Amino acid sequence: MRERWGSRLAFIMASLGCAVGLGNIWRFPYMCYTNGGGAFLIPYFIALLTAGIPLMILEFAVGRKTQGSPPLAYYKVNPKTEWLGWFANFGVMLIFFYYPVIMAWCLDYLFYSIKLQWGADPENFFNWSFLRKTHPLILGGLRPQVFIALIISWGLIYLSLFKGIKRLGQIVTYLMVVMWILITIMVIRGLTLRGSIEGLKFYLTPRFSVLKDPKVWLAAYGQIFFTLSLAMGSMIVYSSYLPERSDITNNAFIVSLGNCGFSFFAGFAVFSTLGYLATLRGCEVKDVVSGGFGLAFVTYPSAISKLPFGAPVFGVLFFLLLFIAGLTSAVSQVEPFTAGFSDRFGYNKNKVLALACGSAFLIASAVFSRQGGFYWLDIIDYFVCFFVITLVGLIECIVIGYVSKPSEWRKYINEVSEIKIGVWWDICIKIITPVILGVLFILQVINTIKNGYGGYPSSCLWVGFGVVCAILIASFLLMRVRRA
Amino acid sequence: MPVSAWIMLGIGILILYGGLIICLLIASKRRGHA
Repeated sequence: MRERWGSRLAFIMASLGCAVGLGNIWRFPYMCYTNGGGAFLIPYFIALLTAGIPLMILEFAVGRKTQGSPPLAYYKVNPKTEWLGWFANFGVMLIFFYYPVIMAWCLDYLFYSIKLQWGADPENFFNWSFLRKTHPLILGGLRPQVFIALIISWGLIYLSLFKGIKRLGQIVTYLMVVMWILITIMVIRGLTLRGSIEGLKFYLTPRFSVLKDPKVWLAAYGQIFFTLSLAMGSMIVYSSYLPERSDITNNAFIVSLGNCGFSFFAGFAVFSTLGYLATLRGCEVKDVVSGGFGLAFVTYPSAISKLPFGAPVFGVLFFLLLFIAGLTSAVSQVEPFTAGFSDRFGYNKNKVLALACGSAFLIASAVFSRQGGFYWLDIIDYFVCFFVITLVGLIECIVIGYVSKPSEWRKYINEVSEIKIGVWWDICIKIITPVILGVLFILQVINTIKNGYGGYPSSCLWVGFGVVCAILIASFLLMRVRRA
Repeated sequence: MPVSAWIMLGIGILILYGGLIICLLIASKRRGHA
């Protein structure tokens, strides 16, 4: 008997927790700023409606109908496509090797916030005092504070998962409420700071001329695809725990809109604070704007240090928000992997979970928690996102759109859903989404071969390509192993 | 903030949160787990 969510709310919250991650806070606002400000919302919403939501509906339908984790789900769709489920599972495995390391950094920074330990130069502190970066080819020594925080992070991931799906639903529901409260506090604090409106001006003022640039449209589709945690197997496995007659379409709309609503809201916290920082420094917002690690561990700590009152409190709240966002996503990365082996080979799920957590912790400690680990984290993240996840999404659309019949899937979806979908869904799955993902994939391959990535030595990039090829081969090999 | 920024803010709120509220209202009419 398959496990079930305790309620519909638990499923929605868990899926929302899976989608809302660190990128919602540190990537979306930056993407918005660099791609035309408020004008970016136009391609973003179009991408949401033509690729994000249709693909989310597809993944919920595949999981709900097949009642299996990705390998079993794709086996049931067509036995020859089982490898796709394994490929997604191994891709997500690579993510959970490094993702908890970023959570560990947030946890360390949460404690550093108490005494604002990054001092007057957060950039110097992050690179040379905290991580003590070396070189991609020199792994260097283990960073003890990262290692200890990593133990806590993995401990919390394991504890959230080992009691099963019902308990996970309860935990994530609680964490999501805490996250919304925290982001609301950060937005209110940001908006009440001097110069905040200057920041919002940068965030929202549209530059419509950029809409002529195809790169902006590709960026919007890429952002939607990654922010919804699609093609990682997480949404498939979560929906496989839904009971009979569960809704598909409306749940997909709620999760997708909730996730994008969180990103949009987080933008106010980020840009109002950047506006404050620019006002204090007497420069323009564009001079302080940043995304990713730079925003979280350099720019934001700079702004926190300069808050008129309660700086440590807001520092703790900000890094707690990042940590929780990471935790709710990390559990959704481990679940499809453990469920994949358990469904396919009949192994005890808790044993697979303990083994997965233990080995991922060891690999993370051996590589990503070291001085040179930052570079490898960046390289693996790049290869998994652009070469594994994009490829899985593309083939997923081809499998459902061409190998099986999308009209039959649509009929199944409409039988159980509150919102009925029309032929537009078939068009999105058969044409729009695969074309966009195909273009994204090809451009990224050409760009990486031509220009490399991030200035890393080519040997590092070949390791990245090698890892992608290795998990692809492993996926085909596992497909041939006898079923349980 | 320029008027165009306020308009984009309004569009963002309307689509994201308006859409979300409508979906939640539809969901609230259904009984049981689902």
